[in-house]
Amino acid sequence: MTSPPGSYESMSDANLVISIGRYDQDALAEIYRRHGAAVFGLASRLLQDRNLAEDIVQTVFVRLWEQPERFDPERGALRSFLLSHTHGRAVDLIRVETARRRREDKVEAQAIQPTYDLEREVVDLATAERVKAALAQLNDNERRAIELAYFQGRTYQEVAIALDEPEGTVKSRIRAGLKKMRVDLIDVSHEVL
Amino acid sequence: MNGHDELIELLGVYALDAVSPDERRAIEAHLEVCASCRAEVADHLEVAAGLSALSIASPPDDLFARILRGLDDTTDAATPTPGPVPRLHMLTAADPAVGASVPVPPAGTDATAATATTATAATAATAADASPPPASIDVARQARADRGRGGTMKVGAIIAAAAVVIAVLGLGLIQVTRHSRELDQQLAQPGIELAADQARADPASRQLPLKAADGTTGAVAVITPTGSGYLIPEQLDPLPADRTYQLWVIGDAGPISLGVLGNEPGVTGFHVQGPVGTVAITTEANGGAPAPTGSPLLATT
Repeated sequence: MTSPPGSYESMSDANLVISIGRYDQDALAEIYRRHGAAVFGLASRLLQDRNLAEDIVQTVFVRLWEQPERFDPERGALRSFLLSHTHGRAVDLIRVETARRRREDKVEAQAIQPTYDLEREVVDLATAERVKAALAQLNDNERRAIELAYFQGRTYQEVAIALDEPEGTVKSRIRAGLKKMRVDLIDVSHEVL
Repeated sequence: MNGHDELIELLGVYALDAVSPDERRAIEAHLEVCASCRAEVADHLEVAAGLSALSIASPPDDLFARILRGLDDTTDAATPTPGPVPRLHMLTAADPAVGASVPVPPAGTDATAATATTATAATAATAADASPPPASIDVARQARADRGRGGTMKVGAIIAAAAVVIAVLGLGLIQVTRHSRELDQQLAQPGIELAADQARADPASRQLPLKAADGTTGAVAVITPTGSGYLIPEQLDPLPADRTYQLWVIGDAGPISLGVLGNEPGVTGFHVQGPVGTVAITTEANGGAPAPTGSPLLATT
């Protein structure tokens, strides 16, 4: 016996996770339908490699299937939980690859030139306005620091080198920038875009 | 680096995975005991998730089908009988669909129905937000309690299932081939780095930093509850071609080699049994040594 057709669409993320705890693949399918594009997109953005991004997506959803209890709805939305896992796994891969390249090339890390514009690829107009509004509150240094850390997977020490700023300044800027965007973006993560 | 005031400055970069492994460990230990910092990190993660709207992209159509194929093995291994059924009565959920679900997933789930489409998903999520929250994810946790360590059981169960098929059915060769291919795929995924990565993400694993005399961490040993270990180099400079790094565990019985790592080691797997003493890395002549010839370059404390 499965849930009535269409019933999954009306279920909350948290209730779908409970169903996953009962080995309900349809519940997993619904979560994938809601969040799969965000997970894949973030992994692709970070890794710049579709095959690796697909591996990350599989890792993230298989882990949710195997360990649904790791999601705690009191600690945030499922989407941010999945994206946090995605980001962490992708960044780990980036750093392993970076370390390997450094060993092979026997060269120091190049100073990073921030080239990606956060506003470049906004895909949804309504969301675009909200994200733009959030980003508009940041000064250039805050924007670039967050961009390098989040979308390029750099440590704050690497960001400090790239931006030629003290590490403490970068830490503070990133934290301050995230706080400034809280009001505008915190609801976005609860929606599927 | 362990005080609240010092760690709080790192919460933003922590949420963006932009900290060192040492800092990550310190922050996560602090988060266990500090509700206000947990709340701040949760906020930062929500903001980051909002930013990720900038990178949404449609995954390949067959990706969820591939995920499901992987789950079939997990489910076969973990649910020989409908174990969780008796606990269904625990569900007083306001959500009737939860109570209606069954422990054994339906076969042949239609993967195409699961393909992500951003526009329709938005509608679904908006509706979902309006539904009542669950009493507790503990229901899921309890359901999984009988399942044991699914990740660990998975490969063993695949192998066991394959062995039975070989012994009993000649036709089972097809089944064995399928399992073997999937096993190969798992093992061939960006390799041991992913396995190490997953072990590292498991809170049940122990993470042992191997530090130099000046306190810097040169590598991390991650050891799972089953004894599978991974050495993850972080700052190991390449050695001359006639030298090699060598990994040791040093206990009451003296040093035991866990492996000769080469002069430019990557992530390396090993296995330990029972209590683990000091894990250390020395540099040795090419080919390794039966016992350390000098003081460890890096060691756990």
